[in-house]
Amino acid sequence: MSAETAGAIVPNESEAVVLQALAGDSAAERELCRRLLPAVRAFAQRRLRSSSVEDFAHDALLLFVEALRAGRIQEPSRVASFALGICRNLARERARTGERRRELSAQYGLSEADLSAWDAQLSVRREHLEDCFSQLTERARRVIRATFCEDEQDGDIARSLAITEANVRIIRHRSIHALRTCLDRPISWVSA
Amino acid sequence: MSEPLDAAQVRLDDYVRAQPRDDDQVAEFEQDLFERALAAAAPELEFRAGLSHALRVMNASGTLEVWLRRDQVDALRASARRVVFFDLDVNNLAPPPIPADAELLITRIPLDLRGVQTLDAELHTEDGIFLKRMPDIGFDPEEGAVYACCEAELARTAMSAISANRVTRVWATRDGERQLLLELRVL
Repeated sequence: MSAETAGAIVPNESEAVVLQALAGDSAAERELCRRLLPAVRAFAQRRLRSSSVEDFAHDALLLFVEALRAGRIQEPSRVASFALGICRNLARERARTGERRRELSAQYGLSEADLSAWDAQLSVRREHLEDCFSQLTERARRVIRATFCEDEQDGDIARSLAITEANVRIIRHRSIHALRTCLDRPISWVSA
Repeated sequence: MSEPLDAAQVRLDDYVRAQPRDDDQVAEFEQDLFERALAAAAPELEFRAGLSHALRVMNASGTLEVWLRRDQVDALRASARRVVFFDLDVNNLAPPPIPADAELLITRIPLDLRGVQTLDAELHTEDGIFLKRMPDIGFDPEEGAVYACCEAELARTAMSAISANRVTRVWATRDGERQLLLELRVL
């Protein structure tokens, strides 16, 4: 994926999708869910343990579709706020059971497989990421791995590397920038 | 998007890692984030989601690190993944055969690592254009070799005709001096 071009969409098209979803178009509903998923996940990552993030995202999007279908969202300009409100309520009332989710899933047809498929659409090419990741220093690789793969807190990463939390944050920001820049270029073996 | 992507990426990382502490700031950020996500105008979110997904998949499959130690190689060879193991003969260089169904290529590269403190590798074109540097190669000084692991697709790219004029140099720091350990026209 090219980070520079990701999300390039004209506003009118976006408004049209929202209006279609409000009118009951299921394809438009799914498109709204696909767009909201990374934001919902970021919301959950900030608040929850990593093992709970996917369940939270799934629940939040199901509730969002439920609200759309029930006509509880009427103003196109309020759709994002409504979705955010669902996330906030869900974060407060996290007493939902797996059975409730299965019921909703069966009723509205939004499955975990859908979330996985949308993730796969966003995923960068593995061989390209491997090429870029190998160009990071050992310390940067460690910070990225601990952050994205091992869900370590910055304090724990800092202690294991004998650096400050502020340094961990800076290393991560620079590494993400380096990876994005590298991924926007051709793979190194075929460049030049 | 109203701000450069890099700044957005930093703000998103700080948000996810719970850096902003002020409730009003967080609420404002979340409102903007959701609005832009809905409008498909949050490229930093899409990039982070894609990066996270690929990193998790590669880490779980043991292929995130290009340079492995022997125990990591043994674990991959014992896994369900279709691994091609290639013992490089530096005196008789030939590209490794990579079957069509191979998922991973692991290349054992013999090196004298006694007294070596750090290792890195550089990729150049034959006419000297620098392409990339791979710093801080993991190694065991007693092993007498390093192990390069890559997705078979990347290996095919590297071996393809377009990459035929590539030169890899492996550098070591020994007694505080940088020394060229190996130069290869395949890898």
